[in-house]
Amino acid sequence: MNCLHCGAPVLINDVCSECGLKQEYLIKAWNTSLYYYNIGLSDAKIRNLTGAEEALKTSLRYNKANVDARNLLGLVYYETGQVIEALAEWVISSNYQPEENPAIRYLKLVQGNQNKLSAFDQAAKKYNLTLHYAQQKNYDLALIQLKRVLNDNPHFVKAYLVLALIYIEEGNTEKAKKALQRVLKIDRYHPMALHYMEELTKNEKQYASGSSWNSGYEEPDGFMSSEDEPDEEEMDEEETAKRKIREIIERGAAAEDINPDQNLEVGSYKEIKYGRHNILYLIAGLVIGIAAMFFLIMPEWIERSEDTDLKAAYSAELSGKNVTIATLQDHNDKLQEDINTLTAQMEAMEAENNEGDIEDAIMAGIQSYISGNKQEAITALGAIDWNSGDYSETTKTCIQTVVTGCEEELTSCRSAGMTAFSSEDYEEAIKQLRVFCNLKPDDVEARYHLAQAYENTGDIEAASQLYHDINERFPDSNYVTTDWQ
Amino acid sequence: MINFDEEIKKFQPAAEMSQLEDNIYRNDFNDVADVLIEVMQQAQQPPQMNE
Repeated sequence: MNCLHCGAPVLINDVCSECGLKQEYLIKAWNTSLYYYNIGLSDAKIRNLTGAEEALKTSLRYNKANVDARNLLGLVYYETGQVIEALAEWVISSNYQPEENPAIRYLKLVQGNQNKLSAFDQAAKKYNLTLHYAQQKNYDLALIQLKRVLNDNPHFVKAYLVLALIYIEEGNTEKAKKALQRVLKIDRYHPMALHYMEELTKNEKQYASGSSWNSGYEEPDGFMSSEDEPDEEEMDEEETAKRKIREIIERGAAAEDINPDQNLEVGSYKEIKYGRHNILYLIAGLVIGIAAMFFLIMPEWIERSEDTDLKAAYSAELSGKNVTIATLQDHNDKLQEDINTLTAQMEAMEAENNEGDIEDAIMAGIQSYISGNKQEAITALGAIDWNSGDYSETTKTCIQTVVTGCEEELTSCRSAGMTAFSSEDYEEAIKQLRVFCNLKPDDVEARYHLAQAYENTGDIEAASQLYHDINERFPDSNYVTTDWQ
Repeated sequence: MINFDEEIKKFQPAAEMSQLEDNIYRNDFNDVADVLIEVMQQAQQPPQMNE
């Protein structure tokens, strides 16, 4: 077993080995402490807070480590508006039992709201100021301060009692009773409140007749001797000064939106009614909402509708253009078909004309050959490439007969072409070598030089045809050109 | 009759936040166990003779 006081082991003779206390005494003290705690708890349950406070203080005298009694005492203090005392009890309690102690939660709740804590502190300061004013008999200032105190701390029992006293002193018994009723609502058996209430009930008429502060108040006998009594002029000055101060105070109170007739009522110390402000906020919100709709949303709607109209117009125009394009496309296709048809007809007509030209050339060549003019014969026949076209066997035989008969002229033609090529007279070389190559298509050397002459004069298509012809027909010759494209 | 001046004297100033620490220290009173220890310590001391 360990000592209830210090926790050290207890000896066999029931005495603590450390502090030397007999455990029997400690147990008795603890039991007494619990007994008073139970009384305090019962009183607190019926809102006899003054009785509970006394019982709990006694309980702590027997055992200051009685955490439950200390926590309850703190709650009683808090309920009667003595917040600093409540905090002190809870801090000590949490020191005795740092874990699983409701005091820790109370401390968190109170200290967590710094605004409220500051309000309590301000209330205490203003209350102290009020006491000073009341002792100096500055009741107006005291009442204004008390109104603020009770606004900050609506459960401050002492402030209600001072308020009631001032009302009694002023002769305002109804308001004094209301203040006392507030006290009794918090602490049902508060002895001072009960005493004042009883006095008021018994001697209401006397109190209602006024006090020294009011004009109807009669000073007690011997309260002020005739020597000390100020003369009439001094009284007038004093009264004027007091009235002025009262007016200033009332004006100050009015500036704070306090009705001088109502600000002293106990029932008026309530939380600020935010409902009235809520309606104002609601109206302001509606106005702002409507304004926002007109200035922000409506222009967007209008712009959107304008955009929609513009889009529809553009769509209509676009579809019209598409129809036009489709019509023009059809027209273009028809025209292209016509062009193709006409081109085919023209080609057919040209072919017919070529055939006529060829026939004319053959006739002219043969006539020149028959008349003995061989040079003219090869010139006329050499204008046509006999190798590329489809000609009848008779025609080919006739041409071959003329070629055989004009070997010498053809050789001189070749020589003239090659000479002209050597002297870089490509026009002459083409003229001579084309006649030769048309009539002697198997001379690869002459063909090659003709191709080069075409290339040098810039007729790439003719040169290319000849190079391809050489590559196909004479693949084993030295004139095959592989790099020609 | 209620005497205002007498009654107002009964009201003591309320504790302010700055006085919280003092309030806590002031609350550290002796309980029965502390009193018993003190008595035992005094009993163990030798009696002092008055001159």
